[in-house]
Amino acid sequence: MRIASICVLYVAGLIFVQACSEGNYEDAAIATDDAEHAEIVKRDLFAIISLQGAPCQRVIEYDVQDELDYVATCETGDRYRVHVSSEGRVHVNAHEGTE
Amino acid sequence: MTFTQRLPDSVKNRFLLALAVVISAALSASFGVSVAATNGPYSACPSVEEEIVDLQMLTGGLRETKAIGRMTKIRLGNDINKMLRRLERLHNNNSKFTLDQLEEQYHLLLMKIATLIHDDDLVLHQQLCNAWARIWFDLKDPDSFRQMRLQKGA
Repeated sequence: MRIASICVLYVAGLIFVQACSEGNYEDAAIATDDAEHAEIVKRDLFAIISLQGAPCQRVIEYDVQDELDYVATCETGDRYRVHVSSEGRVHVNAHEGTE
Repeated sequence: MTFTQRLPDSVKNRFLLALAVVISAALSASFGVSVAATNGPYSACPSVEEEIVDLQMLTGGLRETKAIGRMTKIRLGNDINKMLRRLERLHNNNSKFTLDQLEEQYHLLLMKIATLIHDDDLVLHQQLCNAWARIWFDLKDPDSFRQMRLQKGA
């Protein structure tokens, strides 16, 4: 009887550990996709900044201000506002604000 | 004495207020889309003689333009194909990106294209500006997307 209850507890423990680890994998997968998306955004922002001739080695961080309106932070510490005007023109301006 | 004259002032005021609310709600329902469209980015695009109506026409315009070098055209072609593959996965329900994420990626791709052409090919830039929202509307719709892929394959 005692051995049986130990076995049941052991199996329950295994199921619990398995469930927890599955949850972690799912979370990890979601985090990876978000991270990949963020990398794509950073890469494209860097391409736009570079095309406009603004100095930037790599975009390390960005904030979304509005639709088609970003503030990108470069590795060098330079910050740029990248946005689209109502005429569809893309503007890259040095951003002075801290946030 | 008319019906409204017989009503007390407080009731008349409430009636007028309700009428104003109904009229403004009807107006915002009628013009809601256009108001939103006229306030957003790329909403004041200059009119063009020949409009781009889909992604195929845009890629055709990019192939023909002299504003972009050959290597950049190849890179842009790859970016567009990647975008299409991601959208295909989304429409097949096995995407690792959400629709919102893909929309953001689409906008950034078009921002990149707009940056490349707006100084040297104004006409294509204006066409792109006008087609910006329309192309995304077709890409995000599974039926329009499949139809577009079939036409491309044909």
